[in-house]
Amino acid sequence: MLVTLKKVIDMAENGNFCIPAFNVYNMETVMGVAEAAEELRAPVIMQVYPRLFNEEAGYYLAPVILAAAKKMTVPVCFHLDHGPSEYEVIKALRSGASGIMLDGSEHSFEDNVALTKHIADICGTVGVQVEGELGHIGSVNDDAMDEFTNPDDAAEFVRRTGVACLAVLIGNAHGHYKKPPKLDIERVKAIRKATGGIPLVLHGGSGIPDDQVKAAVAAGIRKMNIGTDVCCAFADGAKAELENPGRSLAVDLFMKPSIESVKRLAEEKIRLVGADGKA
Amino acid sequence: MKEIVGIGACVMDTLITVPNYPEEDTKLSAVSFKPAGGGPVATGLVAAQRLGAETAFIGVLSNDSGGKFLAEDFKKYGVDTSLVHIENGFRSFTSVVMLSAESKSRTCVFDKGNLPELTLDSAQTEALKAADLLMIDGNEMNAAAQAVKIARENGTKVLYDAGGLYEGVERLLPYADILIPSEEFALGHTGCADAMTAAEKLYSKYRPEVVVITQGKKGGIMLDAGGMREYPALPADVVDSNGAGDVFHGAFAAGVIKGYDYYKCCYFASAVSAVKCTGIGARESVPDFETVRKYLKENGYEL
Repeated sequence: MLVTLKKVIDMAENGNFCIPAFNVYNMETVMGVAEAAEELRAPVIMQVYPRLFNEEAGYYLAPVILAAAKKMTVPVCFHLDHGPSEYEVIKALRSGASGIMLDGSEHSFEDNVALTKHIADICGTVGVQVEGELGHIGSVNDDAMDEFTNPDDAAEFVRRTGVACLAVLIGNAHGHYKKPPKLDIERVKAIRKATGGIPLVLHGGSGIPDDQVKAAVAAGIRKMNIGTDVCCAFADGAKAELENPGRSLAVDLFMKPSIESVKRLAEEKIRLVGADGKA
Repeated sequence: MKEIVGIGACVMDTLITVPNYPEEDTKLSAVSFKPAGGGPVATGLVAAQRLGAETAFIGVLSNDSGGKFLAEDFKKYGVDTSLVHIENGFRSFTSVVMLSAESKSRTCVFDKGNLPELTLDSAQTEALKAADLLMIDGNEMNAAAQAVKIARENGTKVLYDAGGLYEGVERLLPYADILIPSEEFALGHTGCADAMTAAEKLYSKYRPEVVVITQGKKGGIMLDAGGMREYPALPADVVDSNGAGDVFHGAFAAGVIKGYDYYKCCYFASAVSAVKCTGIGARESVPDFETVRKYLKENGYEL
């Protein structure tokens, strides 16, 4: 069933676990995540990059996500990941998104507050909540990253914008980590305390050692993004099938191992963040 | 179930036609003195009902003389008032419109009254869920915001008659499926110098199914997935243009209910508006469907 961002985040907050947020790119990744969530009775988020809404792909992908949500018996939120501006946000809302991330972290603090508040107001009209970002979470390939999210800044940001959850920079990054990251778990606790318990979001969840993920969830991470691992799982399935001498040329059959591979990855992450059996 | 429901301003107008605009501190005998119902969505609903759609107004009216007149006026034209809250002891939204026969000027003095804000009840919510189309005009902003949420969740299309640059319109614009601003609104909101650029900007930013910019006597333009098109202002011996825009929006809504494509909705609504202007009164001169069909045929258009 399609639910709002607040619904799944509240479930995580009340149950002291974390919602896995899988980036989906096509029908097969949606199917893999949906099957895993159903089998493990886990609430999940399926999220989409804004570029997919700027290209034709979003036009086709959004109905696939909504169809999956309609069929699923566990709660699923259709979320925009890293929306940079009102333009992409409105496109996502028009496509049926039930959660929105506004990433204003490349702006100054004041501009980030103003833009995020504006988007939260627009989305609030139709009962859709917003994830904000404070402290720019760059790629693992970036030479320079922002300083880690400051708890006092986070408190002011949350108070002035009305976001439902906040993405923070605590040693995480997008992409494949060159060496295992070291998350600042004490900072997670400090941000939670300063903000009065705002649910926090961990981006760059692919490749973070399991013990650190568990510690982060215990400290108050309520949504973890998994993008790169979904891509890798999909590619692994396709690669194995390419190397299979008996493979079928029919694309639907060729894709089956990829769906299965994404499903296994999703199951693994659902269990890791403690979302299994929580629907 | 009503096909079209509307939320917006509902105004008791007193139309006073004077030979010329009076000097200050003088007395003047009026040519005519006439009470009339007004308000963008309210008059639009009357037009849609007259053209064959089933309509209902969702709002708050007073039980003062103005409110009673407005409720009766809706009933006179067949607009359902069962979803209207009647509140005792409040002042209706009223206006006095002075029409100068000499200069054709239109001078309006209004009192917004003190009616309480509309909060949607369960019957109104159910009507919204069941309706095909919701009309809003930027008045009753909070109830309109509540309504677009219900509309979005239940597949009810939203037609936004954007005439006034009211505070908070940004909350509604992203949820209009059919966005019909006046040229003044479109240029004022976008900062563009011309209507076509404004239409492109509104269409690109808010992603409605269609943007229609009304340009009064010039007709207007529409932009949808099929591209930009102009629609004509059809010929008419204008007697009274008051409410022509409101009637256009209501007729457009009726066209949507009839299943017309958006270009056909434009010229259908333009024709209804033109015929309406040949008689006096925003509501009583709205033609019926057969009259419009004949008028369009005379002017080379088929429905």
